[in-house]
Amino acid sequence: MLIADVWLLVATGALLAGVVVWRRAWSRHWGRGGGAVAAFRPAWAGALPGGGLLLLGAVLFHRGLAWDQALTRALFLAGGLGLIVVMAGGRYRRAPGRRAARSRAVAVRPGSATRPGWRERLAPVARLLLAGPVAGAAALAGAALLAAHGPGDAADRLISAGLAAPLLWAGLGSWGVCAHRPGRAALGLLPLLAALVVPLVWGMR
Amino acid sequence: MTGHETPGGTPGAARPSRVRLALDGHSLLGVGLAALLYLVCLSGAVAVFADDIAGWEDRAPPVSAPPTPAAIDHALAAALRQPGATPVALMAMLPEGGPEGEPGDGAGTFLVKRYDADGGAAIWSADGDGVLGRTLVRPWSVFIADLHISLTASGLWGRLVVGVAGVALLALLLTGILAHPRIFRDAFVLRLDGARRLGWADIHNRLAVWGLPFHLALALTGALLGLGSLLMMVVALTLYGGDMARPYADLAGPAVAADPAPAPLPSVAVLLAGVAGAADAHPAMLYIEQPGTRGQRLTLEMRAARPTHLVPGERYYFAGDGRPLGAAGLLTGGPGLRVYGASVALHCGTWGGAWGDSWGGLPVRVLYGALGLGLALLPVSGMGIWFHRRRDQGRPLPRLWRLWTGWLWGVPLALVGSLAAAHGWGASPLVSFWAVAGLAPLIALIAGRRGDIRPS
Repeated sequence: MLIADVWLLVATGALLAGVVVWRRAWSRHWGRGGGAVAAFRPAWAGALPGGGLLLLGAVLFHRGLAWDQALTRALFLAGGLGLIVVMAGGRYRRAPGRRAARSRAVAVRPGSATRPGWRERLAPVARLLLAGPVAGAAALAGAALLAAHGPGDAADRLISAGLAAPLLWAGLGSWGVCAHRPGRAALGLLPLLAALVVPLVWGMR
Repeated sequence: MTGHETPGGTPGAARPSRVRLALDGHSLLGVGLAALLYLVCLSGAVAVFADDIAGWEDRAPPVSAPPTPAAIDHALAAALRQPGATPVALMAMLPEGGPEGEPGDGAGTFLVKRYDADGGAAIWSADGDGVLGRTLVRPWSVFIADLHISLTASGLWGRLVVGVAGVALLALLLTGILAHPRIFRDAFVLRLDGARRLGWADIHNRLAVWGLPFHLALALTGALLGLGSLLMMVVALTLYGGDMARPYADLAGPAVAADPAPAPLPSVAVLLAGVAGAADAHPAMLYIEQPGTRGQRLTLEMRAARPTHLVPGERYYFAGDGRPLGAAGLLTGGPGLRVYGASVALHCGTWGGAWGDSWGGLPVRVLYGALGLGLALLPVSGMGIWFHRRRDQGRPLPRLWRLWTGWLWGVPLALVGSLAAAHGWGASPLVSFWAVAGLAPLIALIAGRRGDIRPS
């Protein structure tokens, strides 16, 4: 085994230690069930040592790797280790009494079984239209503008546009799909779409 | 789709809370696209092992030492002479690595692949002297990669749908974070001992929170790769008067003018002399477009012995006579090309050779497989929360529940069934997969009376 491999193992150990320290700090702060608060100090104070260990893990990975691979490795591994720690501390046995208590906690919302009116039925369709085609067209138009007029050489602009398109679409789509009043959201999105598409069409002429 | 009740406001209230709105939007998007997201994510979690599965399907005999340039020349020339339609490309995958997305056995094998004009492809193993062996038969590893990349649809549409799934996943992650104000407080809670809906909610939220970096990275790079063709079309239409070749040329390196006149394949030794500056790197892949013509262009990938970046190596372009045309810039070029190279490696899980020379990239693939399976469980747990919430609200959807359950179990059953059918009876994995995956929800709908939602 190479010396670099040893460093990678130490880095992985630091990540695991960071997640475990986070788990312990979380237990002290919130209690075992995640509900009862025993806050004798702020949550961030407990999170600092674990966060420091995770950062140390990333820095140790960087001893043998470039930053892009070191950070990727640290973030993905920390997530995987976190899930293992969560599974190790999970509650699995289904006790009849606890089950009944949990069932009572899930209360039926009063009046939620009433039939929705046509406005309520159409609203999800309108939201999906906003989040899908409208937000998508605006995102692609914005990305094409970035490809045409963004900074850097042609390849830089193309890749920036390629990354911006899904981010813009996801951001605008989230806004559209979460809109309380889809009509008002459309009043915001459609002018934006026009503002992005018109310069593109103008440029094609 | 968090299961924690949030102050949502009663019907008729002026405006629901931001959390309530985010939760409603998250549910709407998730329910609408759950089946697609489940298929894309599950196939991706399996496709990351495509190389390993290919080796299991039809193992190529290993070579004892890296082939000499003369042996590579010999193998490529032999592949070019094989009968069949006109070859549009040849590829040599050399020991200790293969290009992203291409089936190969990893270390120790020497493979040659030929792509024909009619869309067909053949792959051979070669020995250390470059003598081609038998044709390798690996239908399922090709199918699983195709399913993940394009849902087995030909043309642009399949890739676009997968790209849209990536965008939807990004939006779901964003709305999910907005809908979950207790993201840190609940980070370690897993309560599967109580109500089913709360159990589903804990599974959903823990997978989403801890897998967030992986989910964001894979969704963004997947959307980049899936929507790339559409964006190129828009850019070509708006900037280059509809010339599709122009935007691709900015990414794919210098072009060579098409010339169908016959010409010999250039010697690999000449190509290697052209990249003498790439110290501590070995040739991993050679790709030849329009082989055997004067318009051929060659791409040689030199992989670092111990890659420290996400991109495992640099690619170099050559004209048909062996004249160097420059490096692709994946490692040494501008920020755009470097980000592009890293995005492909990040999405495909082809980085990580530097985990340790003795470990190879397998730990990375295992990590991707596990986190990818967790990603596939997000729509499953999200739909579980939604169905149970509907039931608790007195608005159950038993038929939709049965259809969903049929899809949920039908897709993995179809994956296993298509693998068995391909190797047991020589059946097309594409047909057997879609037959099983399509019929399973219908069977569940008709026969699945016992599949109704169980009490919370």
